Amino acid sequence: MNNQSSKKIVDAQLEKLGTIQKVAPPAALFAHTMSKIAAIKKLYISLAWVRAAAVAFVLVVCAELIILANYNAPSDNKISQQEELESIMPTINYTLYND
Amino acid sequence: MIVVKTQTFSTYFRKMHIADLYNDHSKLVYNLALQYTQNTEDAEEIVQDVFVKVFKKFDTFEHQAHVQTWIYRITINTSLDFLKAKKAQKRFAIFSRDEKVIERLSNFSHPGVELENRESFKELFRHINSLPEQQRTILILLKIEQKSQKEVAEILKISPKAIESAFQRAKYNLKKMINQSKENE
Repeated sequence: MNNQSSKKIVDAQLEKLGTIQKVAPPAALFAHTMSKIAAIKKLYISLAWVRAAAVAFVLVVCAELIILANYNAPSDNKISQQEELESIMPTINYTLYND
Repeated sequence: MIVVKTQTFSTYFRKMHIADLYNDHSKLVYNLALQYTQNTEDAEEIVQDVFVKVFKKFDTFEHQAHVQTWIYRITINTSLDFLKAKKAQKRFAIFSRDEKVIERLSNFSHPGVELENRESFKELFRHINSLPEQQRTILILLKIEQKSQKEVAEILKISPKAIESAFQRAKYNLKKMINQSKENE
């Protein structure tokens, strides 16, 4: 078989490919595909829930920080209580006179 | 003035209507899958996998790209992956001499091919399936899907020149295979 005729055969074969008809997918395939997607949807956590969880977490952390900051801060009330105690309780001097 | 609206994915994304996407593109996906597998069962499986991937990859879609081009890409990759898995399955069936599985996996049932041409197409697809992945894809898109070189270049993200040279190589390889099978007859 010469080169020219084999080229013609290939071209004819390729042209034949264009005659393949387009077919519609079976109707039942839609339901199958949707059920497969629905099964995946169930596994996915909704973005709204993720956001709500993130907001709740941030709120808890903020509340903790506020509480910690208030606990450690030297408030006026604490200072006045200390002064009052010092005035009531006698301060004992432990130093010896003859030292 | 006529304004041609390009159907971008953002429209779909807003609506989140996967069913719309299915109605618009399932025929395209099914037929392209058929060109790769020549089997209705396999093509149906690929269609399902493609739309599951579309659903999963909502967020990674480049909004500038055309939806159809994107779906073409997903279908091509899914089909090629499917065929690789099928090949491995077939190899195992041959090894274990499971005739039923071998027969099921080699079944040619392309509904787009007329019954009287079935044998000649079966032979032609046997050669096409032996081509390297890229050459096979280019041949399918150009000759069966009747896409232009520019469209194929866009789908495969390569230059039209590369498409042309790959197509010529595919033709050369196909010619070699046809000649060889004629000599063997």
